[in-house]
This record gives sequence, structure tokens and C-alpha cells, in this order.
Amino acid sequence: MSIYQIVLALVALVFIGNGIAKFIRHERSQTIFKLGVSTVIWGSIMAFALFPRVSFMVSKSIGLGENLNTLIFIGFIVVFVILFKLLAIIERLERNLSELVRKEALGKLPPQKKASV
Amino acid sequence: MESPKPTSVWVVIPAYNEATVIQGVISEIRSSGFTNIIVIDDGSIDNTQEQASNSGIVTLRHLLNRGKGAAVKTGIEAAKELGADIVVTLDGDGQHDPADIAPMITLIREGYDVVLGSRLKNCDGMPAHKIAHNRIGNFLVWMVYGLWVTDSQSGFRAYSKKALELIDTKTDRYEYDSEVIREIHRHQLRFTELPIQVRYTEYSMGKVQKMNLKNGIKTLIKMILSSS
Repeated sequence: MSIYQIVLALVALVFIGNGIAKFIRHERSQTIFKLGVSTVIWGSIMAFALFPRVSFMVSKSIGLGENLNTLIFIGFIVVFVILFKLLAIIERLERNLSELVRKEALGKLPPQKKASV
Repeated sequence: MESPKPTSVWVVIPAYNEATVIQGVISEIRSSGFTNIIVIDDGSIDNTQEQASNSGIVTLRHLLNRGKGAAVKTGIEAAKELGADIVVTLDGDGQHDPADIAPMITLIREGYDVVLGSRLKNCDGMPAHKIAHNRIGNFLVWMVYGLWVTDSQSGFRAYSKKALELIDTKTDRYEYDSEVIREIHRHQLRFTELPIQVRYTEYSMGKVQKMNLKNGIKTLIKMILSSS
């Protein structure tokens, strides 16, 4: 086992442990969904790091044979989809923020001006 | 016989850190015969709001900087609340000549829903890099939104009451101007382009470059997101 495998597995373990600790402490930012997603992601990284053969088994089981590149390609697609979704979420939050700022500004529209028109 | 109700024209000016020029812009608009003016201070860190308020016009302030598009939209909403029949939008840095407002309003009264001020119909004195940026912008707007205009990034525009009711924008920053083009196309609004005079002063050219490559890419991504 190489040093990289051990480091990667340790990093994954730290992140999973941190997520579980946050959940046990009932931190508001940690939900069961977030814990589940981060455990799956970091767990997969740990599994691939410690048992590289797992990636071949996965690619075989989903019909890609020994073609690991395809699996990496799918991984990239997943990352891009997540990135795109994140962008859309940020965009929605920005929009909500602008709406709030706008409502606050319009609330100060002088009433005498409204009445005079 | 009862005379027809006069149309209420409001001029909306988004302004961000324009304290040194905003009073001049307001007085020029007044000199052109338009007194209904709304300035939206988009979270400036200088005293733009105080300077505008001293001119005795309607001044609103965004608590946070939300971008030119958001400020224009707030101004248009305010104008609608104040009973506007026609709204003209122009930039707060003094680059637009208020003398062009009257011909825009004439075109709206002739039946157009939107009048787009176009710098590229008369690009004398316009820096070459700005012409190039604009042409690229026009091409991208045409690709994403499907409507060809000669100046998709111009902030000098006039809207009829019908257009004010129908145009529904979602973006906040410089992509707003392009999104309006999408709305014109979507609602099949009657529009025309009017050649406008742009004054590239030392002040306006000295400001931090608003549309660089990074912002251009961000604008394109937001345009694609808003069109999907």
C-alpha cells in the first residue's frame, strides 16, 4: 500500500468523522441528508483508495468492463452536474436577496409622491 | 370635450458611486424638460444618495450592491407605483445625452413598445475595443435569445406601459440588458432602435472596467441559465 492511499484514506476518515460529530452535536448546519451525501462521497474515495480493485469491480458490474476511463468520465459528468446545480442554487439565492433589497427600498418610496400622481 | 390624460414620463437612473456626477446628470435631464426622475443608489459607498436627494427628486437606496439590472428593476417598479405610462432608463455616469429622451418618447407615442438606444448606429468617437465588445455581445444575445439588435448592452432605453407590464427579468447585473432583449422577443413587443450620442468622458472611461473577459463569461453563463 502506497503512502498516497493511506493519506487519502485518512483524509476521508477525518471528513466522515467530522460529519458524524457535527450530527451528534446537533449542529444546525448538519442535516441527515448532508451527512448521508458526504459519507457516500468520502466513503467511496476511501474505498477506491484502499481497494483500487473496487473501481474495476464497479466498472464491470455496470457493464463497462475493464474500461476505467469511462468510470472517470462519468465521475466528471457527475461533478459538472453538481456544479451546475450549485450555480443554479446560488443564482436563486441571489435573486431572493435582490427581491428583499428591492422591497426594502420600495418601502421607502415617499407616500406624498405616490399621492400626487 | 375632455382633453386626453397627459402621459406620465419617468426617468430611471441606476447609480453606483456616482456622487461626483449625479447632480449634473439630474440637472441636464431637467433642462431637457423631464422632471419626474428616480435615482436608485445601488448600495454606493460614497454619498451618491445625499447628492441625488439634494436635487429634490425621488431617491431610493439598495442596502446592498445588487447590480445595475437590479437597480433598474427597482426604479421601474417605483415608477409603476408612481403611475408611469412611459419609463426611460439611462446610466448615472453622464455618458448618455438627455437630449435623446424626447425622440425616444415620440417613438413610444407613435406606438412602439420599446425603444433601444443604439451606440452602434452612430459609433463616432466610440473606442474600438468597446465596438468589438458590443458586436460580440450582440452575436451572443442573438445566439442565446434569438433576436438581433445593434446594441444589446445599451442602458439607454424607453418602455411603454404595455412593455412595463410584460417584461419580467430575473437577472441582476449586466446581463439584465440582454435579458430585456429576450423579453422583447418572447412577448413579440414592437421595438425600434434609435441612434444615440454617447459621451465618453475622462470620468466614465476612468471608472473600473465593468465588462472584462471574466465578467463577459459570467454574463454568458447567466444568460444561458436564465434562458433555460
